[in-house]
Amino acid sequence: MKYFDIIVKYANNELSVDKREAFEQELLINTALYEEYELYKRVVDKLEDKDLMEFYMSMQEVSKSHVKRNNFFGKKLSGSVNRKVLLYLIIVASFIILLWFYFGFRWAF
Amino acid sequence: MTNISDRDLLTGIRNKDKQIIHYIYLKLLPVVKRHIVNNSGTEFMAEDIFQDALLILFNKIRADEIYLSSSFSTYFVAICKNLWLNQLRKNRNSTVYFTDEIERFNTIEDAYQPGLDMDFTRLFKKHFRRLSGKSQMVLYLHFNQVTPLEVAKQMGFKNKEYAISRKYKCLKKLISNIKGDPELSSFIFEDERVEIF
Repeated sequence: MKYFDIIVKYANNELSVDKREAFEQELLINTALYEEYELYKRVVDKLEDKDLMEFYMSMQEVSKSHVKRNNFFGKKLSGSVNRKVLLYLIIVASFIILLWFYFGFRWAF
Repeated sequence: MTNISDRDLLTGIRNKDKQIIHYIYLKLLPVVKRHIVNNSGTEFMAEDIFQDALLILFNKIRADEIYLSSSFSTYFVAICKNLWLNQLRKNRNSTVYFTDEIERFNTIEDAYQPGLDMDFTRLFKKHFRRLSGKSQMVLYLHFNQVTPLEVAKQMGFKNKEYAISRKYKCLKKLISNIKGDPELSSFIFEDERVEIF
C-alpha cells in the first residue's frame, strides 16, 4: 500500500491545488498508483453501500448467535468433535448400565 | 420450526430481517456444510460460501432480478453448490464431482452467474469478515455517516482523533489484504485513463 496516504488525502480533498494537479497527472502515467486508486474507490463504494452493509452486519449477528449455540462448555466444537463427545457419553452410559445389571443381579441372587 | 413461505423468505432477506436470516441459517446451513465438507471443504469455508449465497440473493432481490423456478431451499443450495464448484475450479481441483442431486442442480441455470461486481462484492466480504469485530464496526459506523465523536463514544475510544486514525488503519488493512489476494488478479479494472501519448 505504497500510495494509501496520498490517495486518502486526494479522496478527502485535503491536497492543495498544486498537489492535486500533480496527483492527477501521476494517475495518468503511473499504473501502480492508478490500480491502487481504483481498488480504494471500489472498496469505499462497498463500504458506502448502506443497504448492503446493513444486510452484512445483520448476517454477522445471526452468524455469531449460531457460533454461540454450537459452543459446548464455552469451547467451540466442530461437528466431528461433537460426535466424539457423544460417542464417549454413549460408552460411559453403556458401562454404567452394564455395572447396574451386574450388581443388580448379584444383589438379587 | 414453523415453515415460512418462499415469498416471505425473499421479503425477509430484502428487509434484512434477522429472524428470517436466522431461519435460513438453521434450515440450510447444515445442508450446505454437509455438502462442502464432503467435497474437500471445511466448515469455515462452508459458512463463507453460505454467506456469499445470501449476499448474492440479497443483491438479486434488490435489483429485482430474482425468479424462483424451484423452491427457495433448492435454489439457495444450488447457488452454494455453484459457488463451491467455481471455488474448486479456481483452486485447480476440478476433478471433484458432486455425487448428490447433480441433475436437479444442473436444471437451475440461473442460480449463479458470475458477474464482475458480484465477484468483487464476495472478495470484499471475504476480507471484511476476516477483520476483527471491532475493526468491522469502526468501518461500518464511519461509512454509515456516524460522526467520529459518536464512533469514539460507541466504541469506547479516548477521542475522535483516535477514532479517525483507527478508521484509516482498518481501511488500509482491508485494502491491503484484498490487494494481496491472488483472486484480485482475475479482476481487470477498466482503464478509463485517456491516452496521452
